[in-house]
Amino acid sequence: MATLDSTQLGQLAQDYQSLGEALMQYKLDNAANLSSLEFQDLSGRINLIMHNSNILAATATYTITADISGQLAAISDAGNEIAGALKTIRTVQTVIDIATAVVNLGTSIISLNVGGIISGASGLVTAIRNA
Amino acid sequence: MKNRIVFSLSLLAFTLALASCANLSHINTFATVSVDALSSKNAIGYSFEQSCREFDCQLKSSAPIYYYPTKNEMGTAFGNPPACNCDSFKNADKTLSTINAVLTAYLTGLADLSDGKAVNYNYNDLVSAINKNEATFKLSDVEVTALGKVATIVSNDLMNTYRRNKLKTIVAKADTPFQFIMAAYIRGMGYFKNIVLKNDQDYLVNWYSDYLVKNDATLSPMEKARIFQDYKAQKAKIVAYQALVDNYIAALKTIQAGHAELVKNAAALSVANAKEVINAYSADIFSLISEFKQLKSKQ
Repeated sequence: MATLDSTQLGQLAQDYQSLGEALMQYKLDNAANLSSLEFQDLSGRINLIMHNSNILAATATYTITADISGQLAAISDAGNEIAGALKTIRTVQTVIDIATAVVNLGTSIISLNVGGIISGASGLVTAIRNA
Repeated sequence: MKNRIVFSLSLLAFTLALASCANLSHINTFATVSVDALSSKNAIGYSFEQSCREFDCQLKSSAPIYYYPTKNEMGTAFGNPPACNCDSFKNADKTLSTINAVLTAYLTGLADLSDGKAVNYNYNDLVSAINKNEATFKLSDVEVTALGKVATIVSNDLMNTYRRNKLKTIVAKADTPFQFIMAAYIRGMGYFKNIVLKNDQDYLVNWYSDYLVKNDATLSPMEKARIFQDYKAQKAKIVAYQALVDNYIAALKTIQAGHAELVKNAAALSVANAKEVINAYSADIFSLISEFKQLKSKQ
């Protein structure tokens, strides 16, 4: 069975809506000539037409997902690429931090500063863990 | 020799500092205001599902909010009234939310990548670490500080160039799907405004007119006037939502056009007139956001 895409469904919804409005106009223009029963019967039909039109509009909107699934994936990929670029930018600062930690550790080792070695080593471990 | 190296590096740093200036603030502003505009979708305060609950579901309600015909009166001339099932409406809202989330994530990424603060490497700690043991490195304080400055400028410049090139590539690659998604999003919001919100107003006309015709003989002129006032108040609510959705669609169209302009100017992302064009789109989006807030405050 052929399926309708969101644009076709949207057009149907719009057509239904126009039909409901035309009937509504007819009802209001001819209110004086219609019996109470006819008036209410027409109102009921207009309600149903508008309800169906709303369902078609909602379905047309829902069906958009199927129409654009490839494009949504492509934009998500672009978002991932941006995240990757930002990570690269941040990594440079991480490398600087690691270099600083290495220098601090080296300095402590050269000066045989035990406290400095411990704190330098822990700084290096932290910097690398954050990388 | 060492002095010559330091001088050469300082000169290089100065030249690079002058040449780089990868000022991407116009992209940052555009992406940031676009994200703001997208976020106003939630502030509209009305959705497919709410419309279903307030109107379509009332077709079966035995306790209608307005002057509706009763359940037994509604549609009895030709069959059963429609069942109250809002699943399609919920799915429509979900679709719009998903699109909004994907676009927001992408534009937030663009804002982050074009943010001047994204690149500001700091060599101060490294410089002071080296300074602490100058004997080991055999460089004077001045030399180490100069090298630190050079390193800062060179790496910031390199990363700014990297950022600019990345932005060009990403924006150009993303534009086709972006335009397609924006068009679909605008279409979906259009269905909501032109069909659902219009039907809601027609429901009101239909129901109030029905009530007046059916009860014409028993209603006093004052009661009829009160009912008419009630109708006008209900209609005004829907008209206010329509104005908000209208504004939102206008913002979406401006974001769509602004992104296309970014791609058109991708080769010259930091050239003055390209910036001016993009800034004009940002200003338009900003005005629409302000207008949206004004409309919302009048509700």
